[in-house]
Amino acid sequence: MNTLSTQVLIIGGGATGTGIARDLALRGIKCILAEQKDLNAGASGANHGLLHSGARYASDDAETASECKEEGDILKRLAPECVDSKGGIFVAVEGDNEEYIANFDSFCKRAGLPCRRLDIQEAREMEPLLSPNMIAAYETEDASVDPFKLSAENMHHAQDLGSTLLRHTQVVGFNKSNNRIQTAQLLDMRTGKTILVEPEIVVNASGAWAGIIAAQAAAPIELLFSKGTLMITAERLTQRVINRLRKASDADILVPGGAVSVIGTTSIRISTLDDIRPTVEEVNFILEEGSQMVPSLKTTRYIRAYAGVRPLVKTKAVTDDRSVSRGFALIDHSSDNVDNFVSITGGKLTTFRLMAEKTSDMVCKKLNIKAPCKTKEVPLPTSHAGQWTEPAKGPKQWIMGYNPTDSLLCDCEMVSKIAFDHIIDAIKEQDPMPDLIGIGIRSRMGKGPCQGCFCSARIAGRLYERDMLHHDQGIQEIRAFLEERWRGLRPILIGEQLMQAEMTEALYCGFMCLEFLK
Amino acid sequence: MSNTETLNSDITIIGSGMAGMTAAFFAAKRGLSTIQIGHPTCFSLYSGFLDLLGVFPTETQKPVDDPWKAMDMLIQTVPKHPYAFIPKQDIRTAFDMMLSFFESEGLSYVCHGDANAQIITPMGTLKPTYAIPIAADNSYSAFQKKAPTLLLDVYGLKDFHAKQIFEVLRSTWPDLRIQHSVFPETEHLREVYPEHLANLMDMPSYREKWISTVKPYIKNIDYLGLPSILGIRNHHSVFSDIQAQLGVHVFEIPTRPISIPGIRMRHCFEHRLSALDVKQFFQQKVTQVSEESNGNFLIKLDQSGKELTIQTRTLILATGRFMSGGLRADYQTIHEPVFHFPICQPNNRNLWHEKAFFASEGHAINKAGIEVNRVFQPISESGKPIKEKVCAIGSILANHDWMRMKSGSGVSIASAYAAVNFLASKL
Ligand SMILES: Cc1cc2nc3c(=O)[nH]c(=O)nc-3n(C[C@H](O)[C@H](O)[C@H](O)COP(=O)(O)OP(=O)(O)OC[C@H]3O[C@@H](n4cnc5c(N)ncnc54)[C@H](O)[C@@H]3O)c2cc1C
Repeated sequence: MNTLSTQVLIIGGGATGTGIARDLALRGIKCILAEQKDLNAGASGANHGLLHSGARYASDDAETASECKEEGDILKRLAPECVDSKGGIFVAVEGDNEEYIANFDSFCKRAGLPCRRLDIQEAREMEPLLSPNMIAAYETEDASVDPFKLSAENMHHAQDLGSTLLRHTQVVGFNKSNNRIQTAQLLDMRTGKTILVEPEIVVNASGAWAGIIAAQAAAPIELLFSKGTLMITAERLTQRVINRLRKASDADILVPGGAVSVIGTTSIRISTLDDIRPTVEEVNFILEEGSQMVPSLKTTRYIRAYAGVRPLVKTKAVTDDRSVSRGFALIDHSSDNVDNFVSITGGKLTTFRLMAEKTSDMVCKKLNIKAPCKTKEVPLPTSHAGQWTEPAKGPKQWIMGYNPTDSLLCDCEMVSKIAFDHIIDAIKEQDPMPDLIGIGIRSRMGKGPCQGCFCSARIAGRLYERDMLHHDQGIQEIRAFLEERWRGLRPILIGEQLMQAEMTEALYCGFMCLEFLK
Repeated sequence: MSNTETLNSDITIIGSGMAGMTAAFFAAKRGLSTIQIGHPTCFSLYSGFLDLLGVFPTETQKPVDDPWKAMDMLIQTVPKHPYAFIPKQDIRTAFDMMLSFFESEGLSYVCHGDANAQIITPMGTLKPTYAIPIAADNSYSAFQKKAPTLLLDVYGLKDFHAKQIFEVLRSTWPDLRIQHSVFPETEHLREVYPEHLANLMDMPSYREKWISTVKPYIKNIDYLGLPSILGIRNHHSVFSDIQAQLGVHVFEIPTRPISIPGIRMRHCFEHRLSALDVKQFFQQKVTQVSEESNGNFLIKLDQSGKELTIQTRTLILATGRFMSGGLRADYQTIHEPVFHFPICQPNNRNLWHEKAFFASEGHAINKAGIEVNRVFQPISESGKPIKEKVCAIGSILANHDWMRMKSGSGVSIASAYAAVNFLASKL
């Protein structure tokens, strides 16, 4: 059996886990990060991508609001490549609470957030698609963030500084003695092989799964799960982030990102983490609610939907999921008689850096290492392989970098063979088998209107050409990739996107009979 | 000059996919004055294979050997399947007519008795189909014999990877090899397209050049496999020419679309239908059909500013499914935009699709469509024909799933034949 030793084992490759990996690496501490699927497989890959200005929380939770502002400013300064900061508008429509509207700027002021009242005409000029029923509008400092790039670059930086990423590796149990975790048992999900890790400290950054991991160490955490569904439009509808000017509720935020916009979310209490997917009912609901703010949300084309789970740490009796603390929980499990075990869960993407800082502080204390946090000063470097999640990058490379041996493998998003080769090589450095879903996470593959119809087979073909796939592995890869896309497609299939889905089925089932393989 | 023109016809066919084209052919062949409207873009998606019935029951996700036998079982289990409305002998007659039509247009098809054959796809998988273009059929014998075979990869072609086919098949086919090649005159291109290569291959002088670049690879093999780019208009001579000159059997594997075998079919149809005096209006969309008191139908078309009125005694609707615009779906329902015929469909959107894309039962939405009676007249819920002289044919019909059953061409050809016969009897 393979045994690895490390200073810190981090469980979970979301924003928090990768953020901690980088934070610790900058303090000179090397980690192994184990992720059961791939980077951002959890909430970090299924969120709204809103870099909160704080204004949404200003009325109820001034502390969270100013935390968001502070963290947002840091990210804009140190990781500008991950942020699109065109600002935001909060809009109220007829029927919305007048009192809330009237007090909004004083709430913002109290939390130290810049906020400017707009007259209706001005707001409409700024964002022509806003509802004709708009009655009030404020300008705020909201922005959008690319969570894929963020986690990928955090991990890259940590790896450059000597840490290790284990993809497709699930933590399945711990061996404890003397109030300590002595070894962690990890399972390679693709080979079925067990890996043992001997860590000095274990950090549980597994988001919604934190309770399951903690239970393996006999350290209970009670979590509630709130599922949120979002929908991606085929075109970018607004330049800025649009928030409904009311107490935080469902389907009241529209976040632009690159060439698309994302509307969401819902908030539904669920009891298990199996089979998280967006549903037809949620989609119908989002259309109704969202269109009150931006009417064209009802008629525009959608590319897909997706769903993520918010872990809510249960502290007291709760009725409304939105009022349960969205702040984070950092737990030192010494109190559960596991001295080298720490859990961090909850929180927000916006505050991931702060969460990582606090967690790393606790880790350092336990390791008896005195090293200050550097993530407030050191800019996040951009890596060669980490740039391909950006929508404009593919087209730019294709047009500027003429290379006679190149060709476009993804027509929708204009990503070329050479670009894919970069991504494949970067995965290959860590992992012997690059997979289509992994390539998709690191690029725009499958994110355009075709949703994998053309690109998945081409990129599988490329992997065959490069001798990285054998026998029918490519077919299994394509099947897995298309199934993964399907989760998000199914509830939004009407109009053109349904035509596209029919084409995909005609090709992969009607013609190539991929359904025959099991 | 007048700005309006009126044309009269016995039969007008809306739609120009497999069903519409076949119907136009059957109608014109019977001597009916025929008009056809539509845009034949879907042909570039066709593999060229003529499926009859490849899988039944769908849940098995396994090919059937004998489509005719499977059809008996199908008709018993699914009494509303379009095949159930047509005598088997008529399906055979219709199929045979189409095969000889293609033959006479230089596009020969091969059947393996009454059985399906398993043909290699660009994914390296095998697809059960009934009638196979001769240029693809050699892949069947090569695979059956596991003969020494070379697959040619073409530089710059994105939707065909010889290496993938090789990898998928090599464990059962040890004598399969691959060779990379660059097509002459495309060395400077980043990407090449099937249509471009096929057009080049149509030219004898280019072919000579190509043959001399490929010849050195022809060693110790019985078969040479290629993506389907062996010409469009002169396909027949391209195919026989290179077989003769290279001295081996040659076969084509269809590329993922754009697919040349489908384009060849379209050319055959366009050529013959114009010879049979069918008036074709392509790049046209019918949005509305009105009915006159004498029972005739009027269709108005805008021919670059000139208004064209088509007056027809009978009509066939062959507008296909979603991809072709024959069916449309919004958040609530599926509808048919030309006649607004009732669409047999699941109760709500949640039932349209299964949770898994490759679900074995297939998706319910693919069985949605127009319900017809035994003569292919669309019917109302009470089972009565909605219009006496209008038939619906092809993939727009309800109660079949051409993608999972592998029956697209078969349903199109059979329903076209039956509908034309019926409407002709009404004239
Ligand atoms: C619908 C929705 C919308 C949101 N919108 C926003 C927003 O707009 N702005 C914002 O700031 N925040 C937003 N959030 C919150 C934000 O997404 C999360 O706070 C953040 O992504 C959490 O990151 P994480 O790394 O803690 O957890 P996750 O991203 O969930 O990471 C946990 C990881 O652990 C892995 N894991 C689990 N078990 C194991 C195991 N046994 N072994 C190995 N790995 C394991 C999982 O696969 C997963 O990748 C949203 C959340 C949701 C659900």
